[in-house]
Amino acid sequence: MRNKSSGGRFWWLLLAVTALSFVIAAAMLGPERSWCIARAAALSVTVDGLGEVPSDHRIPELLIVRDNTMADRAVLHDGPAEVPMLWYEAQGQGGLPDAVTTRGIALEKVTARLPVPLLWLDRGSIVDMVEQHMALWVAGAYGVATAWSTPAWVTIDHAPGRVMWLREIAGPDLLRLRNVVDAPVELYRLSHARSEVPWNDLAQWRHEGEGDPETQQRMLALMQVLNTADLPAMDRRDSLLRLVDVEAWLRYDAALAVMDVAPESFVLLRDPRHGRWLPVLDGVMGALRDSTGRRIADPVARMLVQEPDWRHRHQVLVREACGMLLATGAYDKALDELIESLGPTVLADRDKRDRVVAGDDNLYRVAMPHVASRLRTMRSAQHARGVELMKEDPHDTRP
Amino acid sequence: MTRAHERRPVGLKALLIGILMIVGALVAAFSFVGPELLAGRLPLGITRTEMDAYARWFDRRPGSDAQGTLTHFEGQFRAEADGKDLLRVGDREGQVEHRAVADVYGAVELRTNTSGLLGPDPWVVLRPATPEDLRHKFLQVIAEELGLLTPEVSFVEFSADDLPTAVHRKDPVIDATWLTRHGVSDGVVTVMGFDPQRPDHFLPTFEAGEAVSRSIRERLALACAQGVPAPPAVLADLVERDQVAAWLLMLHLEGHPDPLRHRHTFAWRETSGRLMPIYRPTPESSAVSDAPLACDPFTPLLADPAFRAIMQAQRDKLLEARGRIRERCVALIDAFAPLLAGNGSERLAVARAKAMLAVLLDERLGAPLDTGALRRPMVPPVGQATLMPAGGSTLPVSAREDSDELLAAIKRRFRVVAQGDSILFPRGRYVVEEDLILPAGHRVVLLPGARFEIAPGRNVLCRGPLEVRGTALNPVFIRPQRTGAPFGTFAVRGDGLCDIAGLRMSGGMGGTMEGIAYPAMLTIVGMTRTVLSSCELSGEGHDALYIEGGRVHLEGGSVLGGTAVLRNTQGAVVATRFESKGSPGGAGGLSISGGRLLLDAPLFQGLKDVALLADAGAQVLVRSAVFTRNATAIQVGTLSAVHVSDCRFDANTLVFHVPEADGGPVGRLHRYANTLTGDQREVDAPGEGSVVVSDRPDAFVLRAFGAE
Repeated sequence: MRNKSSGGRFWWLLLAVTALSFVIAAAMLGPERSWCIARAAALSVTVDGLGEVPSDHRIPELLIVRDNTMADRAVLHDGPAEVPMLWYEAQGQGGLPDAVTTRGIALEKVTARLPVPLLWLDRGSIVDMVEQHMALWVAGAYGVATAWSTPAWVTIDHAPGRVMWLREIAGPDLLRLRNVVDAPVELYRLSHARSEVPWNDLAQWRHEGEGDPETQQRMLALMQVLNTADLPAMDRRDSLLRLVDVEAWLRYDAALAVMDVAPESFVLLRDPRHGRWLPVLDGVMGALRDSTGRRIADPVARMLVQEPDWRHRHQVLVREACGMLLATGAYDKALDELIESLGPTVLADRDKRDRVVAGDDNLYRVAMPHVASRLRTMRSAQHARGVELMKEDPHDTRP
Repeated sequence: MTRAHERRPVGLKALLIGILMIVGALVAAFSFVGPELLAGRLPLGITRTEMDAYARWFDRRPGSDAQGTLTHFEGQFRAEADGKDLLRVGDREGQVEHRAVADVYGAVELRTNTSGLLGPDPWVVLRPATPEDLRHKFLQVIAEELGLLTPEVSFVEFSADDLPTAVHRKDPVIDATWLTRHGVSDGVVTVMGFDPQRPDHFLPTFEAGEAVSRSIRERLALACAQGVPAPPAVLADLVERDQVAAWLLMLHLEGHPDPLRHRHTFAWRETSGRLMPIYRPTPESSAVSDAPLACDPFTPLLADPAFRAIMQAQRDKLLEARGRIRERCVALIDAFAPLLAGNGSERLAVARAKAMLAVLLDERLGAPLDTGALRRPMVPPVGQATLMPAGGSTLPVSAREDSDELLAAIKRRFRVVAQGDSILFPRGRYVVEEDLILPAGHRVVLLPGARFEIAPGRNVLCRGPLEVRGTALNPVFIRPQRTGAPFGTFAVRGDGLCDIAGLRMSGGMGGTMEGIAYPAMLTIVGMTRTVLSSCELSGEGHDALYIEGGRVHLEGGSVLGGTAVLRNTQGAVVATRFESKGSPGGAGGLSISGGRLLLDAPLFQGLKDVALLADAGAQVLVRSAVFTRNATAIQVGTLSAVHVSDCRFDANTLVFHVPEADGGPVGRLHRYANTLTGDQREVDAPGEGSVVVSDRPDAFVLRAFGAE
């Protein structure tokens, strides 16, 4: 009897502490936020926690073992392959395996399942990562030069595994890895795209490649065209034709418009076959918008669509992309296949996170039903956007 | 009263009885049940690994005696004082290079210069073998029956340093040497995959120079871009149909659900400009998906009834030969399955191997031919419209404007005449002061009396067919703008015919355009057919002529003071003079690399190095030639064969040279009736059997060179 009584007191005490912590959280965060966070956490424990951990992943399983003596070194295990790697650089806050971060890794050599040596390793909201993957898929399927990406079940130093995303870092070897050319190429990169991209300051762009002086001249020439407001229209058109691959750029911006995203970083690659700049998409983020809510394209795309025939071509490309990818169901098929391959792994990830409160960018622990619901929303939003874009008149060439 | 939820301890007796019952059941199963049943699909979720473990303990019946023996490879890979790795094979020992294969546990790649140490191939991969590897051997037997080129799989015992001895599968690495050894001396090893998402599948990997690689890639991309599915007529020109039909039949027999999503190896025949598959089984552990595949030049052929009929005929041929194939495979099972069983049950290994054979020969081959699994929807690979616009779904604005822009610029700079798709350069002087690109899709015609003067270091690239219509009285000239200041190159890269007559050209040294190096003054790459007649090319110490791929016909004319290089070409060189013309480096002569050529009545005179060099698997018949005052008249390099008949050799320092290859196979010289006068030394051929002497060439040799 004494034991039973003390056990009962313990449970009452636990309940009281829980209630008190919720009251304090509600006071600090507001009741709605607290409720959303608590509900997501509780569902994570009850729904996913009770689910059987699947044994087989359908995506690559990787193990990274860090070198205790040298902080930037590690060994990546991909099945039987063991590849030494370097931690490349970090984006975002903190280092892995914290909640939201992106770290670069440089593999000593590629493996059967990782065909590129320089990769971003993303760990964040699963839905954001799926969105990014699908944006790259749409752009790539529509012919834009894009980075390769794949989800993976990654274990770092034998800590619990997590769903992460591997994404190619577009570098001088991008064309060589695709067997398009046999040697590295020159490129300029501007990380962390902003609404006001410094198209007038070369110092803010990072150059990668051998350092051909002509490359720098061509970049400066492009900046000059963009920053000379009083350039005669014919000269501007001729210069743009000489400096950028117009079709590639229009296609790039059309894909961004279809997915309603902006590039995470600008990567301009100088194609050695014709010497002109090509844009490469190696990551996306939410679209940048003006005060009226319209998407802001990059300055080159804005200048290209000032030419009526190129604007018409841009609109045709947008419609074509919508038709090819959304109307035919190709997008849905690719998304279904991705979700199917991710299913067991997402369930196995006991620390999956996502945004649960509207207007709050912090990530909280979530359950499978939350992820499924958000993916449904993502799919329907994409379709709605496609329908909206298809309504636009391709023959309307007004700016 | 006993409470139901009370735990009762299990007594020792009950435990022992339980264990004994299970052990008894297993012993009975392995003693009385046939191994075929145990090797098949198992009930109650028992896996194959579990069955192997039970068999190790409870299978007490004697296994069959292995009839085969395995060669033992013993590696010493701890770098000794001289930093070399050693491999002992039987009583032979030799130096090897070794490296671990990243994607397979315990696999190692070995390469040696010691002839015959690793078997016929100097470069192999050893992977730990299991009884399932016999399937590779069965597939090899079937592929050979179909006449497909396929690497020979074998089994060896391998131990290295502290690694215990284990049976390994030995696969040769397919490279140019392997191709040449198998009679494909004009082949370029090509690896292709068709997963549209994979960057490494975007375009094929070629073991060739960039100029020819880009030319082939453009042709493949263009063929795929001509509609999906592409019309079979377009593809017929791109692949060896019979070979591809046999290769697709093999993929069908394998039963892999998604074989084309993986990289496969091909040989690009430079002389015919066609792809020839080299059969290797698709890895079983490889990825499978229902997603569309990237455009490939094979799948659309499956829609062609004539092509399917070829496949059907080949299947019928296999069905006829099924008994013979089965006999060979059963012999392989008897020889190797017990050896591959390792610590496992030999009976199970044999039964599983027989089951694998039955699946191949009865289940897959016996069933009606259904190519549905191979026919997948096709999409362009990721980024194609931007990175390879020729293969894009729409004609890019920039490429169209490129072509128009180039043409407009040419019209502004030169007095050319545009007639339909042709650009005509009439009689007159054309000064090229900047690099000039003649756009694709236009035939370029240089009319008699046209005279190009190219500024120092500048180049001309013709991306389409070229026709030079010079005559003896009214030649076409291509010269440097300033004497003593050489220009780069006049290059032709593309597809189609290159017909050059009456050209007088000098003063070029090779150059680079669009990032591609063109090695000679006149460089012709990837053209289907090249004809040079009555041309005078003066190299002045640099390579004068370089032709890669396709059929060639050189007639009359001369190459002076610079080497002519013919790489992987097929055809004839008739009555052409090769002379040194007192050039500073003494360069000159003819260098033939791969391919098959007839040299009929050429003259080689005063060359200070090798007059005629045949290398890299070249096959050459030299007939009625004159070699006068050369340092070395004929040199035969690795894997090459040169037949010399009715030739006259006069005052050469050395007539025939067949150098000893560094570990690899030497070339072979076939000497027939020739006249030698005043030469300092006749033969330098230290290798055994490198010179074969007979009266006259056999009829089949003449037939092979079209010299009957």
